[in-house]
Amino acid sequence: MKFIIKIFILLFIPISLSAQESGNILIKNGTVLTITNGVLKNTDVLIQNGKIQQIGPNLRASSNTKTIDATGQYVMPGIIDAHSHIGIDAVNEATNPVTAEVNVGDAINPMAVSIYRALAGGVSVSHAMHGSANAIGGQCETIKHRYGTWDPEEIRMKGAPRTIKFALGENPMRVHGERRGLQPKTRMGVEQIFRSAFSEAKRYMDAQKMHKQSMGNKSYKGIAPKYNERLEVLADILRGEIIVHCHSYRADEIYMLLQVLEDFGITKICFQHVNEGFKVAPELAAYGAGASVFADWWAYKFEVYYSTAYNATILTRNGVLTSINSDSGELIRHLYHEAAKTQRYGGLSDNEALKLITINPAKQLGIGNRVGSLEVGKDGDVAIFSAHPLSVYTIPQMTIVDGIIRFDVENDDNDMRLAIDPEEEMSSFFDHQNEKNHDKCMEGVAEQLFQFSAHNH
Amino acid sequence: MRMKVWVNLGLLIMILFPYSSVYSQDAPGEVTRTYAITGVHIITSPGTMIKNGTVIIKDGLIHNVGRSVSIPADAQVIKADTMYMYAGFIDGLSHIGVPKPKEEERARDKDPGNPTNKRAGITPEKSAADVLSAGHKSISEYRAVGYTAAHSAPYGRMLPGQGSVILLDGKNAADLLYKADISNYGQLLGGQGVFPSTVIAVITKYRELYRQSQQANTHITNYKRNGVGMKRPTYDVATIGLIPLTKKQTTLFMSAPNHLDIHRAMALQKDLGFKMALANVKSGYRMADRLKRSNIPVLLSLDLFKEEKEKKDDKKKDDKKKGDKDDKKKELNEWDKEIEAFTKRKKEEQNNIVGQAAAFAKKGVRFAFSTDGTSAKSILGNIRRMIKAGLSESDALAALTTNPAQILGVSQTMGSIQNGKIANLFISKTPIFDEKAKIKYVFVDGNLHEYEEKKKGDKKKSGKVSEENKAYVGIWEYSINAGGEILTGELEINQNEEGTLEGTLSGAQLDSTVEIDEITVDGNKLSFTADADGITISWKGSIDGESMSGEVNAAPMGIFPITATRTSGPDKI
Repeated sequence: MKFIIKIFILLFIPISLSAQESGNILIKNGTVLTITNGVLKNTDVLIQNGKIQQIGPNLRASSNTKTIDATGQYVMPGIIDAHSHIGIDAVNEATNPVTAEVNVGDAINPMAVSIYRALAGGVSVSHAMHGSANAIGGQCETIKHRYGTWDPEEIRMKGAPRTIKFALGENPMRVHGERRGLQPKTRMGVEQIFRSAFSEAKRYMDAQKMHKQSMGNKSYKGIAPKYNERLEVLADILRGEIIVHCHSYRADEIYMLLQVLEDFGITKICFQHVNEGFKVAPELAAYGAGASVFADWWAYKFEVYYSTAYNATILTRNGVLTSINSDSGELIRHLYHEAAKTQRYGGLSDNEALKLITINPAKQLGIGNRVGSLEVGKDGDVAIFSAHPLSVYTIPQMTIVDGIIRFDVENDDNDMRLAIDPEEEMSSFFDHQNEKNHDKCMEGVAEQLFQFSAHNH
Repeated sequence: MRMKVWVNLGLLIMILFPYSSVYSQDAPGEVTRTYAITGVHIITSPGTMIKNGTVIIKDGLIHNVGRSVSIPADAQVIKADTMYMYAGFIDGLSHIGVPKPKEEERARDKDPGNPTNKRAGITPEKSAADVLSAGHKSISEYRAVGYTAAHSAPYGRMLPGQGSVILLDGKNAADLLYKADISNYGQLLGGQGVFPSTVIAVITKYRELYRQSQQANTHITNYKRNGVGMKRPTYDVATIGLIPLTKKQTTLFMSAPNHLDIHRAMALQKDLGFKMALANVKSGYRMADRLKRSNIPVLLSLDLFKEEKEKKDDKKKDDKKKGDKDDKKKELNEWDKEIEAFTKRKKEEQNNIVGQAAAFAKKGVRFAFSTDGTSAKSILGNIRRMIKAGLSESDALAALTTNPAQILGVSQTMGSIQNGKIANLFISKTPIFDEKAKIKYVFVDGNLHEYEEKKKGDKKKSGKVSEENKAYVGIWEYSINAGGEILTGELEINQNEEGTLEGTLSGAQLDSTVEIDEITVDGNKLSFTADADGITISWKGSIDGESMSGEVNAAPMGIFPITATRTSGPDKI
């Protein structure tokens, strides 16, 4: 009976947490890793209405504020993953080399259990990205891990800047060139895709402008250029309203894209993966481009052999805004380990290593003023660890988003699913993870190609 | 003068032979189109009943309803003492009367990013009226369970076309049509392998098409006003087809089976502002409050998940377990606990879904039922499950009659038993939601269809199928969950003259019906292979009565779960 009651209670905990609800929490006596203001020992963090209100010793709070004793524990800002594909139902619209008009934000799935798994690794914000099948992929969505809500709108990080996925090299070449015989067949072709797309968007903008200016003229008989979602979005990139996040490996291509962007006056750029970023680190820094890298993951396709675990350090030392990402529903659970690897390879300081998974990805997503460090006025997104988060012995204890506990290791039931399939025979982690495709960026592509080729015999 | 003679002669003939005109005008064998149904309990509308009443049907209309109604001399009298009469059911959205199009043999998509609208599944200009087939079996199947009218839409993907209200009786397609092109039918479903392929592309494509339609409308209007010196409007059927929607003259019936589909459809509606109804809703119970607030009409799907039967041999297994060694028992118990918790949550979700209609009724959400995806035979049983879960009988009836009539804009002439309405009704021996309700008569447009009870000895061919093959033989309607996309079709298993099994597999995703090979059976297990468009798939299913579940291995795509239901078998024919 007790068991049943426990199940019952656990069932309704996540459901009753209404989203965008913000909470009041006082975290007492922890070692506070502020990221932007050093390490504060025996310090309290007070979150009121979802925002950090005070950081200091011996804080007091009203009686309706939940108090957590963090004595002997480490309190850091919620971890931010600048590259993931969790919490969305579609990743790749792999049918065209340019699909700027699609937006993964239209297919948010707040019930995805992968969000909870990310929370269990201290991650409070992730960048749910379109895949890398197309040179210009779709728009991405920055989500807050308010796991428990059923409303897709509620996990959107409202006010976060728009972002879009670009991709260089072999993925778009393989999908469109090799398999379909279309552009881009070569790396040169990828460059031309960008140039053609932006040139077309410019003509579209010019035509719109002309039309608007002529409207007042009574004898004007022209008509508006045909509405085009793709060109609208590309125009927004040219206007600087969207941050470009570009899947990339090779230095020559990275440098190529910098030149393309410069030619079209686009300044907001963060490279993703960037395995050869260490070769063009000064150029990246000079352009103000960000780099979001893996700690030590490579050799999964030809263009990703020339890599080094020192990449993050070299980029950091050259003044490039650098982060470490997961691109994986598994790696996302231990980004703190991934960050720690930069101490073994390159000897980054504790704070430099932690910046790679907090304030730096926040800046790359354009949300550095709201999350990524523990500062008064910022969102109450906090991760609490049993030991220093860069220690191999650390265990995430609690993840708080907007002052609400979304993960608590003490209250972590076997079954934390929200959505239940009424016909599912038996669920297991293995079933959900049984995906042969290691490369999440290419999710959905095989299916689309298969359907495409199945009718050709 | 001459004319007058003819008229007088005509009158004379009519006086002499009062019934002759009736004989001559109607179809052979039909004596009269006037009926008097007597002694019947008339449920005129949900919640109101006239006991022992009489209904007169004349010229396809309900002529008179009441306790003391005089019976016209030419009426065929149907004594329906102790029986129950209901307004005919109206389906909220389906493809009744529309033959499922065969998947066309397609040439290689040279440029999947720029397909034709047709290839992309965007055909809003298409009318169900053009693809109706009066002889389609779905018409008689649904009529036999009380349906007299349906909102029928073409098959397709993103924007398959316009739906029409049809009557479930007629000799040709034109007879069926009651109100053509009342709606746009939409789905959040991409074209296979071409843009828009994923749900994100489909949603953005809706936005683009809608805005292009608004633009086209402005252009056409300006051109009509004064086209001199103006570029002529191009004739793009898709954007022109959506103009009525942008002008709020039609409603988009958006298929939204699940919670997230509803969110996505509502977000799109909010963004663009068209008139919308949600269709094929299977799991949307968490949206009740929001739906109520939005006042968006909802069509709940009658396609419920299959009820699980208690397994008889469960107990035996339990007994066996008790005899096992202690350490093994412990391990089993751990696992059992997990299964118990899992099953409990699954059961709760099932209850939520079966109880959804009741919850919507309680909240005051405007809803009717739609039959898309159902088999006609399952309908009354599924409604009874919902009633068991708390839906009142009158709310159930409203969702089958008055509510769909109102949502489809035909409530003036359909949905209840009142003078002047179309004679769409049926008579059941017992109240229709009773466990063993049998429909005896169905009137569609005043035409009588009578149903004889099947006698037990009538089974055809039942002796032919051998006892050991009985569990497998028949037509199985299967559905494969291919990574979120549901592929459906039929698996037909037959026993050949040698007494062994053979069969075929068909479905929209296959280019043609294919023979299945290597059929092996073992108890409740059925497996076979088939060559599906150059790929060998292997099917492994386990049968539980009339349902089958298992998986199909379609390497290199992967392994996908399958479920199947036997819609006709040796015992069902």
